[in-house]
Amino acid sequence: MAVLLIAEVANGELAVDATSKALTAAKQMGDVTILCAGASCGGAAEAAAKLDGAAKVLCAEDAAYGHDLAEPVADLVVKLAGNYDHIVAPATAAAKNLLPRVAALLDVMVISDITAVVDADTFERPIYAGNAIQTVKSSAAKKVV
Amino acid sequence: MKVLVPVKRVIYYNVKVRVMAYCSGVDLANVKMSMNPFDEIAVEEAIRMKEAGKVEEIIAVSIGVKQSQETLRTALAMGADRAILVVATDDVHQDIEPLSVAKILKGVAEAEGVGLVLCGKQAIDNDMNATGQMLSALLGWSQATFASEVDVDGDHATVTREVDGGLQTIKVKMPAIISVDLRLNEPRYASLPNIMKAKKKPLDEKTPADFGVDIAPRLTIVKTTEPESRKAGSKGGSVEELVTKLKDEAGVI
Repeated sequence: MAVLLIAEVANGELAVDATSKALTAAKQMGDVTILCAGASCGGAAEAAAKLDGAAKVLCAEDAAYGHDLAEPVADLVVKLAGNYDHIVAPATAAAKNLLPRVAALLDVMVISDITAVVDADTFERPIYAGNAIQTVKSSAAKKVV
Repeated sequence: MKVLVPVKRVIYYNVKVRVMAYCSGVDLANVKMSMNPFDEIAVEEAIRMKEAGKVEEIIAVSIGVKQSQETLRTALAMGADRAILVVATDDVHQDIEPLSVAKILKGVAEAEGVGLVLCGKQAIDNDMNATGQMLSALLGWSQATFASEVDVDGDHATVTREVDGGLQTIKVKMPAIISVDLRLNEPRYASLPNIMKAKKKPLDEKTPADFGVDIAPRLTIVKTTEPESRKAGSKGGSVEELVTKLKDEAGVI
């Protein structure tokens, strides 16, 4: 299964810690393609290519992607979404801003803040501020995690 | 301008959450419920905007069980003008997914002709943090999440957002959806006269079908379990012992 991982890019640099953790989780779902979007993200894309387990890195450069706004990046991700079964991003403020928007445009539910991948469509996530752990299964064709 | 404020009835934030037997969910029978704290902040912000003369009417809306009426009355007592209750389920344990909620809210926003939606950034029960963003995508309106400062001026709004490692200030075009964070304001308590007055304020009841929305869940909840409890710590006698323990047992060095 093909996975699109949206890398966390801040000021043209890759947030290695957040992205590589998400990559470890994404690898359990399938072959990972990393997407770097930013005003200038060549450096970030090179750093992403060095991460262990990335099959392919896409680099989208445009001034519109440089301000951490959800609208342009969401449109980009939706355009790319046709080729992937999973769309994954680290649970950062930027990604939380973006992913539910992507999910709504694709008419699927988002599964936020997962803590474990049970299988390709079953995930564990904390609810009630971590006081309970819920295991959810998505039957949608595309999973936004 | 009209403002729409969605509010959710959730477990009171100070109640200890108990997972039910057979991992079937969280026990919500006979526990104290209240308005989602983030939504309270959104209601407060809407009232402040009205007091500043930027807003004419505040409409509170809640989607869920019939008992959400109480939550809406709280919003009315704080200062909202009228309320809409969308009765989507009879079962207190059924959570309506953010995607369905966003679709219903889209219907409400269009029917009422609102110019701004102020919502809490997430509900403290399912912690999804999705409804505002989804609503923004469905309506095609501007999106400003995690707001800690909001200034609406004519056809633009300046919003300071809490992002990882700092604050981001953005200017968005109206109409917009703004999801609020904790630091925006401190919600007021409703006074007794206002609580009495709130009982007379209009509260309409609707169903998801009125907005043509199917609320069938997209996700299946397989089980709900308690988190792993923390293991007890142990005391070390000497520095050497500590170092070996860190190396062999914890594996951190």
